[in-house]
Amino acid sequence: MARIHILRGFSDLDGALWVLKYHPELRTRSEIVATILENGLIVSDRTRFEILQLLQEWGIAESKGYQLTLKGKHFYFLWEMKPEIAIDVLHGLQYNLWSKHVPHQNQASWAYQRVCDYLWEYQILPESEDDLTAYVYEMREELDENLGNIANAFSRKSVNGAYDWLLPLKPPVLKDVSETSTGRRNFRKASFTRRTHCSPALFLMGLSWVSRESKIGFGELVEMTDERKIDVCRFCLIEPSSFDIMLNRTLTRFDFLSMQRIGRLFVIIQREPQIADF
Amino acid sequence: MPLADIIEKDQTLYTPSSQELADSPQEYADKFRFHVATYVTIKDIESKWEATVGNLLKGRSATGLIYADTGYGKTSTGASLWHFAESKGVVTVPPFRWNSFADLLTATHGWVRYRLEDTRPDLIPNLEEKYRKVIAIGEKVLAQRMSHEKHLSIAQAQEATEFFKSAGRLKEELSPRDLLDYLRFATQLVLDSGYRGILILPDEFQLFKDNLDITQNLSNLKDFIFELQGGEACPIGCVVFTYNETFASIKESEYNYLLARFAEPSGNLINLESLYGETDFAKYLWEKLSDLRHLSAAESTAIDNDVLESLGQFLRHTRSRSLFSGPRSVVQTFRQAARYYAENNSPYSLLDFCKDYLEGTITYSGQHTDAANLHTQIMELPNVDTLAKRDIVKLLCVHPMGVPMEVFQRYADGLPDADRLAFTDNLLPEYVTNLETGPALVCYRPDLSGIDKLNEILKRLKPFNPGSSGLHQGAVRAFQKHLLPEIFKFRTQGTPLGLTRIREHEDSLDSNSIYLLESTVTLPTLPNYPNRTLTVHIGTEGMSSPAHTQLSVQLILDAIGEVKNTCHVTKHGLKFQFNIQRPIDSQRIPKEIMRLGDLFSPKSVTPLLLLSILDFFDKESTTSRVKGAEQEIQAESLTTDIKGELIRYFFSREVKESAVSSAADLATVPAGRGFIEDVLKNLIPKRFPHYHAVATAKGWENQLGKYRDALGKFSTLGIRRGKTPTKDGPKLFNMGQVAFDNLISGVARDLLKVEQDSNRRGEPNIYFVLHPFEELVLERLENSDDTLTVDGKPANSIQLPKVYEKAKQIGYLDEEVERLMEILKARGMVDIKRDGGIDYLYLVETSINFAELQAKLANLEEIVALANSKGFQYQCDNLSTAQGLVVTLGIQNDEVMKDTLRQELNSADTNLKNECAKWIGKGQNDLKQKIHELGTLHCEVPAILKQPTGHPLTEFSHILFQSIRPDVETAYTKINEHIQKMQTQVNDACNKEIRVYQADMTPKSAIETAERLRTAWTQTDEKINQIRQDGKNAEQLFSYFERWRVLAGQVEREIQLMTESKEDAAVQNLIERFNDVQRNIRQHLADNRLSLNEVLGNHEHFKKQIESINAEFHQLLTQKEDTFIAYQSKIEEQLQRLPDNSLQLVDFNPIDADGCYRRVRENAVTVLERVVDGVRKESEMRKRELLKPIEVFTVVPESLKNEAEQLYEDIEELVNEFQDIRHSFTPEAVNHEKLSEWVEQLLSKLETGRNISDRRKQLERKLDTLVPNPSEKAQMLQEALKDQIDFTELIVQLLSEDVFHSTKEILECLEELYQANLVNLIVHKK
Repeated sequence: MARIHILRGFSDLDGALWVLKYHPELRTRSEIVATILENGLIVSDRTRFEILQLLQEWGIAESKGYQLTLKGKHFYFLWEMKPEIAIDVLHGLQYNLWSKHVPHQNQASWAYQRVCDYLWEYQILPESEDDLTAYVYEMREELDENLGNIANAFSRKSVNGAYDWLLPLKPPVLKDVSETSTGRRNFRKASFTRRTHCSPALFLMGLSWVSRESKIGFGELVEMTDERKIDVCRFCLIEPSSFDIMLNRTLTRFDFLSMQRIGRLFVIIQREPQIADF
Repeated sequence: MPLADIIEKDQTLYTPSSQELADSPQEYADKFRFHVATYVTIKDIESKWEATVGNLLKGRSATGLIYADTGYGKTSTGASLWHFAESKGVVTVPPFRWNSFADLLTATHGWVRYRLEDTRPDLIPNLEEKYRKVIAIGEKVLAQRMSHEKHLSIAQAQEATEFFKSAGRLKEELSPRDLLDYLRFATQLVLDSGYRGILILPDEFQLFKDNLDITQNLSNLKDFIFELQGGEACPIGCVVFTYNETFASIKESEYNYLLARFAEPSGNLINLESLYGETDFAKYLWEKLSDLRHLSAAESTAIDNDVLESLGQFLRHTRSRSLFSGPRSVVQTFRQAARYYAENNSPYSLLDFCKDYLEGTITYSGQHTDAANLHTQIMELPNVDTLAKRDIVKLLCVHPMGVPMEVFQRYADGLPDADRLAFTDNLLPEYVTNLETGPALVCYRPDLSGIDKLNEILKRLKPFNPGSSGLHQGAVRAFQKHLLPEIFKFRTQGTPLGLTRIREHEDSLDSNSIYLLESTVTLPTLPNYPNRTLTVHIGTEGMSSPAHTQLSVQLILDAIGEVKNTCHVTKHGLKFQFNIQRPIDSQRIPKEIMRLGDLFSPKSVTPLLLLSILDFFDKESTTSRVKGAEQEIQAESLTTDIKGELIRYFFSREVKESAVSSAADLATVPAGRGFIEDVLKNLIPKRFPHYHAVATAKGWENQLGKYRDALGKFSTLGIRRGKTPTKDGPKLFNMGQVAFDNLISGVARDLLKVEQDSNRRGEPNIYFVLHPFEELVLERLENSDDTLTVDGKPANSIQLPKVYEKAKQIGYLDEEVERLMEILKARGMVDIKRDGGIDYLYLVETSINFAELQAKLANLEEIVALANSKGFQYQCDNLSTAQGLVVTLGIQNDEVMKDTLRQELNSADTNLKNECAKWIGKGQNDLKQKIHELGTLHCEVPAILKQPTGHPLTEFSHILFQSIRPDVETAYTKINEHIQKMQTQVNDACNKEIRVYQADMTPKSAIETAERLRTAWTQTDEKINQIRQDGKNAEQLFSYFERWRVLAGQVEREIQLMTESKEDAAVQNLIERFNDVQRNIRQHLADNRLSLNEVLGNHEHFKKQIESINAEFHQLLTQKEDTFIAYQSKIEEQLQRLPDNSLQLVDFNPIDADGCYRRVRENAVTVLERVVDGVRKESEMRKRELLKPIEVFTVVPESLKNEAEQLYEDIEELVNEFQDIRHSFTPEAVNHEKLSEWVEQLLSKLETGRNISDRRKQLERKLDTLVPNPSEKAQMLQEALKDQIDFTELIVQLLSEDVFHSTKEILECLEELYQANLVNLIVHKK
């Protein structure tokens, strides 16, 4: 059964990537956790170490054994040298995995999308995680039977899991979050705000996601309707007014992205964006 | 002249209309054939042609959709497919413009007829016949549609159709089904003539753009494709060529599934542009053409390789289509090159290409205009004053992705790099920008935003003087402000870990700018090394080394030397040396900050520049200029990008490798933002190998305080010094098991040792072990040569500040040392003494006096004897043990044994004191218990005793309630007062005893106090029993009093009843007897000779007298009630003869006997009147009924009318007679005889009434026979009638049900029913 629960793995990401990079010989989860701890890195989820599952889902770690894939090696470079972009990309990966065309797969990504969309739409942090949980279930009811038969796997924990991935974004979307010495976060005084900009990498991922969901292939014209612009901004958690600025930045940054104005605005992504492009 | 082929090669291939193709097939066949001869097929596309034709050869249909914008060779590609398919024996209709389905028919018909002319001209008539039929169908459909839409007659529509036919527009109405019908027929003919099938190649398809109904167009297209692929397999193919936009329109429409249908065979949905998008297309094409046209070696160089590279840039550019016309422009360039070579016998160069491009020779739709305009503008600038510079401008024009360095160098014409760079830099940002490959004209920016607004502000940075000390200071400032928070996590509110500033300042000494930060840091992954002292220095070259600190990070920004970026790691920290003058990438500006290319060349993009930009953004003069959301976002995102770029430069893998060279174990530390923290994490444990932290968690001081308090609970040296175990850890620390476990594994992990029994049963042993630092201090004290005199004896000592100093060296925090010294003191091993203004830590010596212990034992034994003599039994194990130890041999010289004896005696002493306290406590509690018990004896005075008034009024009431009642009340209040007094006395006595004891607190005093408390208890208990008896007596008195009070109440009630039942001698007699008894009672109650108890106790005697008189009185009352009942029954019996006879019965009340009799008579009259009123009401109704035959009904014979009138009068007369009788009914006249008379009269009149009623019924029956049965409609109306119906509603209902046609009809039926006496009518005025 697909997973709707959002894994809480961000805090373990650093250790996981480090061990995959420097200790590719390790074969078991427990060995990996032990090695990370021995080297003074943080492991918050010692028993399940769910980050490995996520890295596999994203194609960063091999599905058998625990080694970086080629994509993973590129991601490691990004993580090491361009961490602010890497964090944006992680958000994009979380958001991007679920597709309405294959709704029964990657349902955790669907849930993450709903959380992000809720925050972007209402621009406030709900008073209680329960509100968001109820919203996600409501959305699930509206979707179709493909998600409707999932057990109550989405919970407050999942909401906090989603916050884990949103919290490190720069510029930030979650502000005034306090943290105790044990790593417990307090969102009581926290707020959500749309960003004025994001990395061009994430913006490109957003454009690519919109094309994919519209079943438009690479190299084809994608009309940037108002609805699609909003979808991209929602994906990137940015203000709709920033769309044009971000599109210009992204056009400058990636030579396989181009635009055309044939009365309306079109973009063309010549090929699938890769982590190595970022 | 092979080059001539290229010159003549038309880069565009004209696409004919369907009619042109049909009219001149041979002409177009020749044109296409020639074009194909010089055409180079793109890689991979031939395999797709094979698949398409393969389908046809197998007898199956084939489709395809090829899309690209103008210039990408759609028609040429179509021509190539045409050529390929024709060569395989397929009749292939070459590309033609597809604007309607009719075009498909026209072109195919023309081309098939042309092809049949060669092979089977005999079949052409069949083909023509079929064509005409299909046209005719179209004609018919059009006529019908025009007739319908234009409201024309069929004849007029046919006439109009004729007109369209003559104008050649008739076929527009062709349906996909009819078209396919034709195509299948034609296919069969071509198969019969030896061909393998038909392939049609419609071109420039724009969704039948002439017809605005896009949905209809798409629907037709769907029908065509589905028909083509459905049904019986037939080798008909259709590969459509169209534009990107048309393709996107289909994709966005609800018919997007059509695209999948087109891809049959699969792969036939082809984006032509993506095939041309390859980097080396121009080169590839030139090589292919050279090969195809057999160019000589010299001719092959007719075009300079740089031009091919430049063409590649045009094709690859993200806005290629707005700069160039795709492959078409490439072919055009080749033609120009070939022509140039033919004329000049020298290669076509970049400058030649530039000229052609700017003149628009090789582009369409004015794509060159922007570049040409910029070229003109730049050429007019005064500094474009040499040929070399003019050439540079030309190079810029033909390199939309940037002029590569080597190209510049090839065309430099002696201009040095630096001068060229200065020249292009001067053109920034108005004319030139720096892109990834090199400088380019601004019109080639990949986005369309034009000049960045922010650039106007950034331009103020120019001219940029890298040698300026002010800039260097700004760089240090920017590094501190922007990069330090990136590489260190600063502790903020809400984050417990990270760097905490202690002190920071900025100096500018000898042109070196230095920023100094002193701080403490707790790294998230090193909680066992809290608050390390860290110094961070940021400065320019020549900065002095920092003073010695625990840890230091030195960051030198070298703006002068040719230094490498390095990191040197030592025991005490890290020293970075950065070259901030070196370009980040001298060839190209890094992608993330590409926008700086608008203003700076790659060589000038140095860390110094980037830091200066950050510093520039911080200046108030800049922030005031950055106005508007767009600029703010741009500035913010540029700042973010620059910070990222700088971090990558300063903490690159190269820098990490240099660190690894001085510390090999840093190999697995990632470079980048977290580099310094990760290195420190590696360094700190090595820097402090002897450090064992206690400040590892929040609240550690509090936890150590609890440890010290727990130590204080033990006086045994063995436990306090960690030699002897103890038990029950959580209780000792006053915490739960989980918290205690956390303590053991956390803060106190070096201070507590837990030892579980081997069988793991029972409480584990807890040892208060010495912390390594405590042991270190003790060792130093024991070895110290310094001594201090304490209590006259010398003790080893150390100056306390030296302890702190040493501790700091090995990593301890001052707070940790302070707490650990407190613990060491609590163990009784050290103490502090101030001497000569200096605090000294010294070793504490212990020595125990045996004689004192003996004396203490004797004292204890004496007290125990006293207690026993007073009856307080006491035994103590510690005392017995101590008694045993005292006589142990050699104990006087054994410190540990003496300590044990001391502990036992202390325990015995404590034990005895505790026992004494218990005895006192018990005495005190027991006495308090008695005080409480006294309280429970308190008597609640009955409320009635406290009530001076409101009692029954009798002859004896005054003496009973005013004299006796207060006496009974006093019996209660006296007891309560006594209780209160007793409680105060006992409580005071108890408190006094306790105070006496507390003033002394000796065991002896305690024993005596306990004894006195016990005596007081006994006395109190006796008094309590007495009070309890007094209470019972008071209750007895009250119960007597209550009986008297009840009796008084009884007397009061009876006397009142008797008095009201007056005028009766018997009753009067009873009243007098009653008063006699009352007087006797009064005398008894006032008898002073009797005690209160005796007076009240004698109550029964008088009660009996009262009850006797009462009984007689109630017998009298019973007799009176019986008489009344008999009277009422008789009246009731008379009235029961009447039809409505319910007499309302009256209850007898002895004090209102007359009233009772009067109400019975009134009720009898009511019954009589009710009978008369009933008759009158009934009569009125009957009279109304009789009016119908008399006055209303039209069909009644006169005889019956007369009969009715007679009846009417009889009824009236009878009613009058009843009324006469009614007037005689009065209550006063009621007696048995009169009542009987009235009843008789009424019964007689009622009989008369019944006779009249019978006559009336007979009359009604006669009337019924007169009226015929109502009509069917009237019966329907009768059924529809209900009680109390609103007639309007009924009318509406009946009309809506179509039962009746008009209101009049209904009213007529109503009248019919009325006349038949089947309805009554009641009409209200509105």
